[in-house]
Amino acid sequence: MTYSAKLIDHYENPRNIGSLDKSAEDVGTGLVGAPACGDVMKLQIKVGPDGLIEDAKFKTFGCGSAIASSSLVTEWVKGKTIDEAETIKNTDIARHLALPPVKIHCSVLAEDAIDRRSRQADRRHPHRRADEGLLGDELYARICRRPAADG
Amino acid sequence: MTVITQIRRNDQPIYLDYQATTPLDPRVLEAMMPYFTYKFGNAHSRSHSYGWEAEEGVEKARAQVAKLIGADEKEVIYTSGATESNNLAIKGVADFYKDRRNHIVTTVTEHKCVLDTCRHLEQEGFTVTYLPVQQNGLVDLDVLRAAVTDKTVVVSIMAVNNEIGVIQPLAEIGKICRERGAFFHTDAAQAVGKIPLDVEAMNIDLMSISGHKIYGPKGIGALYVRRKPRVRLAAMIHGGGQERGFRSGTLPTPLCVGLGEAAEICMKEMDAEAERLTKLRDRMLKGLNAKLKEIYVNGDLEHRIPGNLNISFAHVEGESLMMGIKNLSVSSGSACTSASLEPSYVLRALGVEEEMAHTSLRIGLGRFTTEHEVDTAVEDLVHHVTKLREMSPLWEMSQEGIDIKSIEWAAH
Amino acid sequence: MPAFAYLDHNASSPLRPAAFDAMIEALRAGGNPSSVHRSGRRARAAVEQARRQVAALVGALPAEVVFTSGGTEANNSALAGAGRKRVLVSAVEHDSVLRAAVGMEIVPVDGNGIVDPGVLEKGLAASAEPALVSVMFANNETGVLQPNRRAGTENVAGIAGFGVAATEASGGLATAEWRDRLEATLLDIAPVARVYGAGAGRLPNTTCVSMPGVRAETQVMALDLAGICVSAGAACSSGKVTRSAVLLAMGVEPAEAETALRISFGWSTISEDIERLIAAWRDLYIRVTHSDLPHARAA
Repeated sequence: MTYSAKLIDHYENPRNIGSLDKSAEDVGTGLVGAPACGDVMKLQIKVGPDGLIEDAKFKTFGCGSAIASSSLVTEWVKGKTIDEAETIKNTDIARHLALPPVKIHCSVLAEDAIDRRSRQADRRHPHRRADEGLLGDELYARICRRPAADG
Repeated sequence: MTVITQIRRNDQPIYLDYQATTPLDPRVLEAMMPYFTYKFGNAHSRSHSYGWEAEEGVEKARAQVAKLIGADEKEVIYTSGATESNNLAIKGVADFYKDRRNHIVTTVTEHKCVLDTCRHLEQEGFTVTYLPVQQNGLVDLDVLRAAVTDKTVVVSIMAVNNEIGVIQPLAEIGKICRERGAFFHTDAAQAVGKIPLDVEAMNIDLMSISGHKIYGPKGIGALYVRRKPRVRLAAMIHGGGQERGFRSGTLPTPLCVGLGEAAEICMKEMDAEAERLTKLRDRMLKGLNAKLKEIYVNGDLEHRIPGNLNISFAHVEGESLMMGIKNLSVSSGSACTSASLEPSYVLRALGVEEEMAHTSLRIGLGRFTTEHEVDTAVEDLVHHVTKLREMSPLWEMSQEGIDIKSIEWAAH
Repeated sequence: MPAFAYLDHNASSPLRPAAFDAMIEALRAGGNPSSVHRSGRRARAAVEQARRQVAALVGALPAEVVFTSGGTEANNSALAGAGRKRVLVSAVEHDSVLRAAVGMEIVPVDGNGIVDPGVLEKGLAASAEPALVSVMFANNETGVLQPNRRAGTENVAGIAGFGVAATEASGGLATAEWRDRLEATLLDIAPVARVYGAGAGRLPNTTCVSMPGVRAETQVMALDLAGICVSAGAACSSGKVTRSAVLLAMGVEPAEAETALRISFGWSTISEDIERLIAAWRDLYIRVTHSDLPHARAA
């Protein structure tokens, strides 16, 4: 499996690692994935009074592609409104990083984390439960259904 | 020093995946060279000296392999590798004795090629018992004893596990099999040349051997087939009737010679090498423990080959770690399945939780591993595990005292 | 002059230097092609390069090439693994085909060793059951080519070597001239000698020729003493010199089949090897036909 230069750059020099105060009024937290699936992403955004995302942080337990996907979305969402941020699609992330086919689920996870986090920030109601909100069973099935091994 | 530089150039990563494959020992390559060049005859040509010369090389190698496992040279059959040996041993006895016995016993931590062979035989109407293993990876002898019946044709239990390096109690297993009249097959690909093996003392009836796991070439292996009491097999590859009719096909003379030479070197150097590797392994584990919290060795550390470590680095996903330590060639899970994202079935069988299985690395040390390489690897691992933990939400939670199990992660 | 003239390339052919170099490189490089780290990826690249080379030689797609341990395994896999109940094979196949499965239907060959397409078609039409037909491209003993229509795991070092050999094999095969000259000379020495499959298209490197009245075993020994390596047929497990099943299938009398010798050239053959063979063959023939040596009467 070979990785693109952009992916390696985001893995080796991840942007915006860290945490925001999850109890703050203007911070939204998205926590998706499951340790048993091998990936968990936490994405946080801070929304300014003008409705623009002024800061974004992430922490990710997962493969290099998952880390790079998280890092990339934190860059992309900054300066956007929540509505704009929600238009980011996993296919955009996958294309930008040239994710290998077996890693596409990592970008699905990232897209989902934006959704969840945005919704939470919108509602000014950060929450730690991971199974609440937008993540339906179907999406989890997509995330956790791993492609078959080659040989 | 010249030997080492032949194995690894300075710009190459440090190779720590000796359970996936081993580099060819330069001494083995040297022994093979004449058979690649001027001694190129067909070992089955009886009409001229090229054939005799090749046959001589093949037979000398057969004796070298036999000696390493305490067998007679007539009991050693060349194959293309351990996968073929495992297939031939299990399907071969199952098919030959199918009118009298139709039950097979194996364990859940066997190599895929044994498990797949057993599944294939289930489709053919055989019954297979897949024994669990204990938390240390070893089979429970009482459970085994209870599973073997007078319908059991063969018990197939690997000598050493390819992921966690644990050594099964072969002599005890052999004794149980002999008492019940079942054949004992062991996939010894990871054990041969690393620990003393004796087919007589251990009552082993069939043993699979691989060339490229003992610093020999790829594409060659062997199957030990006991002659007294005789084990009979139905052949899988038919043709010219070579290898006592068990396995037709022209023998790859240079590969056979390489396997023999590799076996002889292992035999000569086994004791000293085991001591050296044990020291290196302990040094690595000590180095990691000194700098990292929450790391766990999977599988029994005492009943284990010296050159294997399988470690879970809690809260750090194994693939991301592998991507970081790009100067180290290690594997997460077995080489055959590591392209998949499924956590290792071997670790799951030990009761290692899925999230911990995702954080495991297999580190294999071997003949050309140096103390300097071990130290570099420790430094690299510590650096990247620390870095990845800083970006791990699970590590953060664990440091905050949040029990990850208390979180309702969505079902998967 | 080299110590031996090796003219048994159909038993085993020496490695070409380029294939040797490719193998040594792969042997030194190591790596398990299934490993995901750099060492594994490099081994995988070597395997896939070889797969493309082999595919190119036979006009196939790389994805259609599966590596095996050799021809015997490949034949067994194809015949036993195809899952067809009906298998039709020619009477002159290699043992690894003839013994790969039970209950195969044998299709006879003519005096030149060629399968009659009409007979084959009739055999196929005898049942509606889908069949697998296995007919060798070129015979290992006689070199006879069948009227085939072109149809449209891992030992890295071996595979790499095979790939290079495959590339080179498609390069130059200009030995037909030598073969024709050799046969003409031998027939000139012994007009009663017979070249088998002469009326058919054959591999340019193989000739199967009788020396009437002299058992092949005797010929092989006499030629070996003269430093020439040839064979009396296929190299099999027992090493026994048996009557060739291939020649018998071609309608050759058993007594005559026992006098047939297989001579096969290859990339390392030089014209002196052939001169040497001709001289030794002539000596032997003159000796046995002009003396009362016991083996002269053996057949």
